[in-house]
Amino acid sequence: MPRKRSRLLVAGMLLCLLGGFNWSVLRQEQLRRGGAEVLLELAPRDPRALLLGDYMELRYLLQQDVADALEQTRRNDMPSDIMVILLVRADNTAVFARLDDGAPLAENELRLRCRLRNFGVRVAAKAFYFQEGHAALYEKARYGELRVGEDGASLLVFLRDASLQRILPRDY
Amino acid sequence: MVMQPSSSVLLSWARQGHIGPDALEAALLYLGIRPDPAAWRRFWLWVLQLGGALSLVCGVIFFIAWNWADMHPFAKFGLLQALLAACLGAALYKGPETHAGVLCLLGGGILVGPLLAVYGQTYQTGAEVWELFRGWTLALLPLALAGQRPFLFFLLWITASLWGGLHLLQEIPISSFERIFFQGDSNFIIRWMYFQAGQAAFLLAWEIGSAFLGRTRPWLRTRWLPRLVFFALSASLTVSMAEHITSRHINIWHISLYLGVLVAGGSWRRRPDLFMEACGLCSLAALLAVWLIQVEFLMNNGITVGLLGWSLLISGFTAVVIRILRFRQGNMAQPAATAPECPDAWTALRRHLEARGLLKAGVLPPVCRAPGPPWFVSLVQGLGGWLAACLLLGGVAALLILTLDIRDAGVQRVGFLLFGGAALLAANLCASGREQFGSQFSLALALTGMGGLGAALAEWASLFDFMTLAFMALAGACGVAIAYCLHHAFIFRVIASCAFFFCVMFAWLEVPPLRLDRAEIFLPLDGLTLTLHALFWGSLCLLLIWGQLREKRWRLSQARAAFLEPGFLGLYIALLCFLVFCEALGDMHVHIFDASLKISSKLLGVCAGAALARWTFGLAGAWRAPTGVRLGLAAAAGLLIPAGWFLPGLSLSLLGLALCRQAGSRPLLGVTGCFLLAYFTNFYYTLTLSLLYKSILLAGSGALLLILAGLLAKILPKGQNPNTEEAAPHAA
Repeated sequence: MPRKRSRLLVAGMLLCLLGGFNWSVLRQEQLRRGGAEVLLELAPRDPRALLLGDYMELRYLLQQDVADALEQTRRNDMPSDIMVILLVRADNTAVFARLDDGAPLAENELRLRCRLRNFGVRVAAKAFYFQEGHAALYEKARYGELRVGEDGASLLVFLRDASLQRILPRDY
Repeated sequence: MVMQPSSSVLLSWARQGHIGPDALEAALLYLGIRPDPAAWRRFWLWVLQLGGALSLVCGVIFFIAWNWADMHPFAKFGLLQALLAACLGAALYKGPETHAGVLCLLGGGILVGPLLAVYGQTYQTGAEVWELFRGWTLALLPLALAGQRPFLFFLLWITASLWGGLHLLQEIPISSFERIFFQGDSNFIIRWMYFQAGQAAFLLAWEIGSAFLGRTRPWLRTRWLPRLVFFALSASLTVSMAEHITSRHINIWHISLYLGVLVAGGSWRRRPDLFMEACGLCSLAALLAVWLIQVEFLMNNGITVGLLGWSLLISGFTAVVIRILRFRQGNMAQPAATAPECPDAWTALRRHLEARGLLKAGVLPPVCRAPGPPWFVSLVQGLGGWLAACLLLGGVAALLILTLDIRDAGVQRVGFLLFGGAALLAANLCASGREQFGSQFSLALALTGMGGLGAALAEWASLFDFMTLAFMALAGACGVAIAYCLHHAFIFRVIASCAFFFCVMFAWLEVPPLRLDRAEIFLPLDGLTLTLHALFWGSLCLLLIWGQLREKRWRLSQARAAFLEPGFLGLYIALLCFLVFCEALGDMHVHIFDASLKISSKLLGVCAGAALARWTFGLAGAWRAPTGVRLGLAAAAGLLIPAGWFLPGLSLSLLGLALCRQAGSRPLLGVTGCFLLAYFTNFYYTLTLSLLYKSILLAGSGALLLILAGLLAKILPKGQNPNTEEAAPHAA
């Protein structure tokens, strides 16, 4: 490959990577700041991931409700991504209402995207990453605080304890 | 065919008295087998630069993994993007095709991973880990195209394979593997087939590029990368086909892909590749064996007949595969007239020695020998030999156990002893041939014999009530030592030596006054105990160095060299194994002799550093360097003494690298490299130090190594050894 073309390739890659990366950061920041707040109850545990460090593996109680609802439909041709409707209470905790059937949403309802895999239903982030040594701090986590966009995309931003207080090593 | 000058040929001449010790040393130096000061300088510069750069990158990765809560994510993004931009900017400045530019591209390519990892830590959207590798692969593709080096494509292939592999694994729970392999899961098989088709497409693209663009782009003519991909692909497809055979589930597309890859690997290229043909033949032989097992061939007449029959069958398979490969090798061989420039190498060596008055004219004759099989053909033979021997031994053991039905412990001990002795005798009888099948077959028998002798003696030692484990380990070591003396094969002796020293180390830890059952090593230790531990590990390391410093004395004697060389190699591997043992038990929090393991591994690291310093001092003395330079070099190597306390694996592996260079041993280099990789992977996961401290330690070590490299480059000029002022053939 000629020298000029290979330089163009590297420069193009660098621009695309940094541009795409920062655009993606911007989108997630918009969701973090503007998304609807939802609290989902959890059942956590904590191992270590390659490159990403320590994390708490999360399971949401909601997952079982969605799985039960799916089983009742007795459909074998479900898509890999589905929408579920959550009922949001006054304290922002949310519970499963129904599978999305296209009907308009009530005022206290919102859509959340779920992934269907061979091993079950996946709701939102399945792990919360934290600084090494903070595991004990997050042991009391009972709720995951999510920001949910209009398209059902979700972002896990904090963990909360049983009294719905955010668990913060530092304010971010 | 004329052999290339090699250390084995020169050593055999020296042992037969054709050339003197001085001529041997001069020839080894001239050929680059024995490093001269300039070669040591190049070697250590390479080790320090590579080690320093890798330590720095690991320090960054560990820091990212620490996930510092007090650092704003934007600061992390900014830091990594700046580093990435600096790397790629340097590549653009130097030119992506230059050596420095390619290294910068590699650094930039590696940094993309941590950048994506920080993104994943910060925005926890539920994205999968395979999505990280997908992004990494897409970023690496243009870098590999721009850099045009096989190792960049290798990195690309690794990340792409992780992308595909993790995607498959995360879509399917581990617990369902049994169901997948024994009952068939079309969904999984189809995804697996896509993954294999992707690998096949990569291979095809490389081969097409090599065929059409190889003339103008020499890097495309590299064979190791397509061979590696073909090996992985054919292994993966063989497992898939075996699954089809056992589940009787036919997927015509998958079978077509398998046959297509096999046919393409064997015959598509204008110049066939024997390695790919060997992979294809082994794959077909394995599938035939799976089919025969599926139809219960030879399995209906009892386990003894089955094992003995399968031993013969495997021998037959191996013979057929080797016969075909030999035939193909003969077809592919170059005409004798175009044989390489070996005579020139011999002539140059002769002239070099004659010019120094070390050789009388006409002493060195070119050696003629039929071309030996390539390493992978030998490997197939060796694997066949191992499998056949294991089945044979299983058959014999089944015959003895089922027919004699011995239950008395005393008779069992005698049985172990007799079985071990018989296996060793049989091994010596089989070891005479030059073929790998016979030598590996005999190796398996000899190892069984060694195990039998060791187990018999250890069983007898277990009768003592006092220091039972220590006595058992020492008795096992005695059995291993007897086997070492009785069987002469090099590989066997390396393994036996490793087993011997490992038993001795284990016995040492088990001696009651030396056992430290305290959980914390920083408790005030008994001074005598600590001194004894230090003396033990120090003497093992010094034994290793003593062997190298006195090498000239024992190397020239065939008998001494055959006895000592595998012994020293085995000792080093035993030290590596011991360190792995310490780390593994330490991570499992096994409290039995917990403190002994910790203190021993740290002292081993310290002693390895001290031994390297002592060796450096001795080597510099052999070069007749001034005392100041000798002391300076020893002090530089002595920096490993404190480093060995915190990172024992680092100092031990650096000692191993020096041994590899001195002996010119590639297998030892491979062993040490694998150990380093495993050690630092374990270092990431171990919880004894926080990721922050590890990051500081690694980044600090990396900076120190790079500074040392700079100092070494300045202090030691690129002096040419007075013996090698001519351009030696290895200089390139």
